Amino acid sequence: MSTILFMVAVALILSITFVVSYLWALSSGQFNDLDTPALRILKDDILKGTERKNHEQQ
Amino acid sequence: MNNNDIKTNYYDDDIVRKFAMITLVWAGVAFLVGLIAALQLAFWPLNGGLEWITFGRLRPLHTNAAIFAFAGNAIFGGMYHSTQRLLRTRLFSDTLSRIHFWGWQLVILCAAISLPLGFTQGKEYAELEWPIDILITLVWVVFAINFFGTLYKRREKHMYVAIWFYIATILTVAVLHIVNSIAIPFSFMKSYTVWAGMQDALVQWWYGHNAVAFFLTTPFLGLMYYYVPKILNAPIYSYRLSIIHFWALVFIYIWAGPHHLLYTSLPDWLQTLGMVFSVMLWAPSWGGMINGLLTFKGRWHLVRSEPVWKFLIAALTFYGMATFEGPLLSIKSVSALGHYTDWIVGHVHGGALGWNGFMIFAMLYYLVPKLWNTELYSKKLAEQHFWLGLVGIILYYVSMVVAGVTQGLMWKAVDSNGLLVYPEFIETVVRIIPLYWIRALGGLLYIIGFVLMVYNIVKTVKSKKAPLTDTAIANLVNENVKDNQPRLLEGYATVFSVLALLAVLVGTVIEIYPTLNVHRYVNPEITTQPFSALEQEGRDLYVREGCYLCHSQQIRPLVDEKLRYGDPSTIEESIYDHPYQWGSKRTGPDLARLGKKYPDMWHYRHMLDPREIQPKSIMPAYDWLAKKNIDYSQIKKKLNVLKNLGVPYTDEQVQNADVDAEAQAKVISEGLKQKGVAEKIENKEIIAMIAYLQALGQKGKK
Repeated sequence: MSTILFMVAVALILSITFVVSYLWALSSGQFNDLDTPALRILKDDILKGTERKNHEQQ
Repeated sequence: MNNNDIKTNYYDDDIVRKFAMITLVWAGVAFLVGLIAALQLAFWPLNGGLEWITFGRLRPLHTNAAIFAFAGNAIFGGMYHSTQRLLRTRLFSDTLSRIHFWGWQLVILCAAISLPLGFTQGKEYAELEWPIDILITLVWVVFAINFFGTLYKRREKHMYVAIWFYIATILTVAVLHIVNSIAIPFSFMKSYTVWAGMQDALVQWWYGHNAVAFFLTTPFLGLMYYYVPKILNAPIYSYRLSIIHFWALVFIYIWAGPHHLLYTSLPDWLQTLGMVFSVMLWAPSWGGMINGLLTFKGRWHLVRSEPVWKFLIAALTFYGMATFEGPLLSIKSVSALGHYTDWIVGHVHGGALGWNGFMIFAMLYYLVPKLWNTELYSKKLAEQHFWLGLVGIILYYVSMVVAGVTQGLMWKAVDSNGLLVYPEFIETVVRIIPLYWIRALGGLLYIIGFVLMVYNIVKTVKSKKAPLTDTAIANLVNENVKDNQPRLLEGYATVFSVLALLAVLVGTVIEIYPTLNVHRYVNPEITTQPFSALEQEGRDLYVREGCYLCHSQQIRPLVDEKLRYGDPSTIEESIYDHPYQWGSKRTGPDLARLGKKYPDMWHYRHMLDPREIQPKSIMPAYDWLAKKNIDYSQIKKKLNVLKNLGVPYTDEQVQNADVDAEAQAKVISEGLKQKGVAEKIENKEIIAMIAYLQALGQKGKK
């Protein structure tokens, strides 16, 4: 019985924590931009071939 | 500008090349050892009579090589490659990277030597003894410093989802490894774990399941989130889903460990908790699979011509299958049938060969041409590799599930008189031997595919066009510095890491803390007797030979198990077992109540030649136990360590351990002599083993 009570308390605390942190995330703008992060990684940002040679001679 | 400054304008590709190549080497070892182990189950004489490559010692070598050498090196290579590009900076320290690389290879080498020699802690996937455990910890710390240092000096403030998974991996594996490996040494290569019995079982499977979670899942999900979009040149299907996926997965996974211990003497509330969280785990797992697969949306026609895409799709599909099957097997009534059978072996290989293996192959096919500045030697060979591998996995998986369900049903069969239909365990083994051959064939096909890959990669590397150089970074603007607007959580590495660690620790603390006081669960009317000195010596041999890998010591409260093995196991019986030896697989019968069931002579003959007792037995002969002398030199130290860990030995028992053991050995060997054993066996290991086997189920009775 004591285990059940313990688990109910844990479940309540955890679920309240989750709701509160979700509301915080929403209101603080965590989900404002869900597109650019996925796109940004596709760009390589590396120097190749002649581009690299020119860069290294500078 | 000094040299060092210039260097930071380049990615460290050399370290990635190193990890990529060594991955192939260890893959070959892991696969080959696995094949030999599989063949040994189909045809027992294949250990060649050599103790070092007998199944009980070979199996840990296979699992450790597959997880920590093959998958481990691939993870490190992939993480180092993608992290540099995602954070737009060179790794924190070239020196640390190389210490990490060579240190990890040293760990693997130590494992490859010590495991066949029989140095083991007797806990699955955590077999390595304490000095190697310390080395692993040190290398992991180097890795962590190198990774978090890179995070600290990153030029890209926003951390992409792959990085989150890497953070969770590094932190959680550290916690898991340290907690599960805490042990007190009594000699240079031997120790006893501080955990005992039920507590050890819980800690071990909290570790074991999360080795699957945080060594074989989270790092691979991180790699998936980077390499799938890069290979397809398309953004991940849903970044929104990846946020939910990450947080739900790391929070829920850690609770699932007890599903390995359903119907055992683990407290009921923990079993239920483990089962419920395992079922919940289905959702985030499939969130990850869907996110990966739907990234292919609109591009499916290209799969026809791109072998690497095929590998990715198959890997994600196997991930989906394994993470559906896992929750299914975690339901108590399904576990009642599947646990201890080959179904579980099929399940893990679906994940390991399909998800981990194919992800690694796809990554290497993509990385090697890039890193060696060339093209893949042959797409056609890669295509053939894919189909060979796929057929191999399917043969492996189907044969093992059929074997598992068949044997599980045979164990359970009870006739109308309430008697077992197959009272002889061996009948259920003989029935599935043909499936063991099919499994080995599946493994062989997988290896042939792998050989094609090695050839393909070697040819690719040899065709490199220019001398190898590091990749130059184009955009050197540090966006961490020109940061005026408030950053979101994904821009704060420290806060993010702390939150991820917290998500993992909640389940850990709630499950492990209550069992620290194990006596709450013990019936005070029952006094458990510790093993005698000789029995303990025999127990260490039992651990050394890896007996627990084929024999469980845990009878579940199910009708057929009561009929076959006797009363269900209790917490009290194993309360002083450092380590616990409940086992997870029954290639042979359960041994929890073996003691006093047969005379000493039966055991003597059975250990020397199992077929003399049971003509169809597939157990290897352990004749070296009758040749090697018992090493009494450590026995006082052993008992002393156990006493300090809470086993109720008196000071006298510790002081007289060697004398007591020799006296008991004399009694047993005299008895055997009277039955006609002519050899002088008084000091031989087999006597200690018999003493231990006869003590099984004799302690902790009412």
